[in-house]
Amino acid sequence: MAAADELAALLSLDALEPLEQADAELQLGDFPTALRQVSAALAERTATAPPNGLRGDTLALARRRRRPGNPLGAVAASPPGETFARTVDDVHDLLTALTDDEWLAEAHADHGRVRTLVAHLIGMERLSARWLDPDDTVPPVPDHLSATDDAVAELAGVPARELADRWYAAARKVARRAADGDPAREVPFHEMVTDVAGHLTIRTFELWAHSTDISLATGRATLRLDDARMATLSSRFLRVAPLALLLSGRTRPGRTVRFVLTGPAGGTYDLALSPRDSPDDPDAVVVTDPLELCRLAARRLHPDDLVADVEGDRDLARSVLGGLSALARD
Amino acid sequence: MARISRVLMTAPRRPRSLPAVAPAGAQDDVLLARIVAGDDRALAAVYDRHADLVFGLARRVTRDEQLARDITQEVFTHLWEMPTRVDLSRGSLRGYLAVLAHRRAVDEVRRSERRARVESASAPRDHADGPEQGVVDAMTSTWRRARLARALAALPQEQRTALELAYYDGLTYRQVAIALGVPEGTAKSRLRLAMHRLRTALGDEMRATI
Repeated sequence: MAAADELAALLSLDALEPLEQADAELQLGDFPTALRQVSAALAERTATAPPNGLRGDTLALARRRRRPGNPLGAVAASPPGETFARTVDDVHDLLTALTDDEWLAEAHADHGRVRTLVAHLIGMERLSARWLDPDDTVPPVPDHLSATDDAVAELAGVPARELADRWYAAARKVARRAADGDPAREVPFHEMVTDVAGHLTIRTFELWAHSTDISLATGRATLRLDDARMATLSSRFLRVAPLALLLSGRTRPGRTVRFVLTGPAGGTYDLALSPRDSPDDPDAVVVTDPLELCRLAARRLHPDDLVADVEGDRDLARSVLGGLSALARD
Repeated sequence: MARISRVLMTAPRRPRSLPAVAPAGAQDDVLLARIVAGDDRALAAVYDRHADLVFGLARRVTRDEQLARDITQEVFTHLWEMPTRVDLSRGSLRGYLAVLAHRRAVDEVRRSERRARVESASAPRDHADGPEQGVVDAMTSTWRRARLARALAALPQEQRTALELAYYDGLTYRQVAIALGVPEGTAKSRLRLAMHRLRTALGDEMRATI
């Protein structure tokens, strides 16, 4: 026992001969935490102000070795088309599992019961399919709720399970139509214009949000998007977040907020607080989870309830967080 | 009609420079998560908090300003490249950086001037020397520093001397034995006993804060 203690003590002091040290590390793995802490305590005696310039040199070297903004161990974001299609499948699974009573559960303040909400989604799929068709001239439909009134009325007498099938067919048609043609073509979404990927991302947000409404209304587990899809939603949302600030009247020209999203779907994003600006040195840093951010963006989380660490200009960060849900459409 | 596609063209790009002021409140786990996510501002914050320890230790062990600068850069760059190697269940980030800096400094010493340092260490020394000139108060509380000083002072002279030769001068136990003119077994025993006494004297509470 004394021999093992001795070996650990010498290892913690880096006092073994080089070859012995390699053997000791193999034998012990690492020295005990308590010895590690003692060793670190001894270092405190030597603390000395570092020379000027070393900070800049150190950070410059680090940035050359690993590019800032590049997360470690992060999953690759899935393509928006795949993200949408897989979410459609998940929502279909949820709908086909619902009981008759659950179809009648109150799910949404505006859309009411689950069956009415699904009818609204069918209307949205029909509209999406038209928007994605470059040869179709769709009249302006700025209001998201009233845009599907006709569909909701038409489907009022359709049995619930048939609604699920009809919605699934309509959503798959959207996925197919999105895959055809020029992916860079302009695609409307109510009063906005985006490209195919942007349109599918907005629609995925909508499906995910409404699936959450249905799950909560029926006491079921909410849909948990995998990291690849969460990376798609969070990264693409932050790219268009300046537009959300514009729509919410919260632009701040010349100011920048950094969003650090942690975990496998994470990354670092600098957000210029005006669509005309490029990001500069951050005035504030918001550290949060991609899921939290997406819930906020989908208007399924109040900004005050966001679990986040904020550094820097907290008022600025609070203002930005308050405007991020402006792109959400229920 | 608002156009999202135009916004995409001005989407986030990387920062040009880093601020000089470190955040005061961020915890180790948050800073590490930020580094994993690619936030170089978090690395700057870690540097601002702990560079005194890393540089000071490297300079003390190597007795070479340039080597200490190089080691400091390597330690923080290593953290930036491999932050997931830090296990906060085994101690603080500061403690991790101290262990890493010490290992790098000792490696450097042994690589570059092993023989010369043995001779130098054999010369008469002032074993009661305290912190170097210019030492900044990097400890989070004065009681912690005082407790460390008391714990070191309470060690028997021969154990303290052996410990200082090994830790602050980067000598192996064999070199410590030569420097002190004692058998290798005696040097080993003194180092083990010194660490054991310090472990007890510092206590769990204090060690956990380092």
